[in-house]
Amino acid sequence: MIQETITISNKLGLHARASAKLTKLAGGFTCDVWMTRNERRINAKSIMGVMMLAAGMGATVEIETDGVDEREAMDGLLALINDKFGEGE
Amino acid sequence: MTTILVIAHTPLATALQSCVRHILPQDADQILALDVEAHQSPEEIFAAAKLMTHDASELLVLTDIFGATPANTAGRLVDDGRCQVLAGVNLPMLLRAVHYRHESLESVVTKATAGGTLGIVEVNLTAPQNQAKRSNDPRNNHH
Repeated sequence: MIQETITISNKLGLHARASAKLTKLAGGFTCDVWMTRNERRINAKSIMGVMMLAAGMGATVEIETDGVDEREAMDGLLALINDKFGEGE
Repeated sequence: MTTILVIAHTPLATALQSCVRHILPQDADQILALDVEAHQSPEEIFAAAKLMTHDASELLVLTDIFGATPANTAGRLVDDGRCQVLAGVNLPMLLRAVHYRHESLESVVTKATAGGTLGIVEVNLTAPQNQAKRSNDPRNNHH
């Protein structure tokens, strides 16, 4: 199992489109993917779950990946968040 | 694969479809939308819905409010086990239905119902964002 903490840096935070992108990416891996913010822990393959985190810009979230492709999943998710979900701001 | 049809008072069906196009661009074409105009007869609506869904092997119909003409017409589509209708559609319900449409019709119905219900949230009380703000609020400082 891998755990990483990351700060959401895009202007709109984990809004609907960003959550959809994150969920699609997470859903492509076989490992379990969890995200936690303020003690709320959700399945990152669920768009509803990700949106329920209500993580705006500057929010800190913890990501956990657990399974055969946990490294690839973690790297992909961190890259997506650091890329501001391709939104440019 | 479950086909999803939204039947609702105009412009809600196409508006919900547009929302999905915005959030899940690759999946929006999988949703059928039928806006019901005030002047349309139930027969006309039913015929349009039938025409749109004639090749669906499994069909989930989402409609806005139970007891109204769109929902009453949607109810007539349930002629065998391959179609189910849910009233009270909202965006969380629709997103969830789209997300799980590769599963069986029964499973999509369960997920959509749960999503629609869980999507109703008292934002000020439950959003972690706002909880953090409240805990920093000087009015909460009793020391």
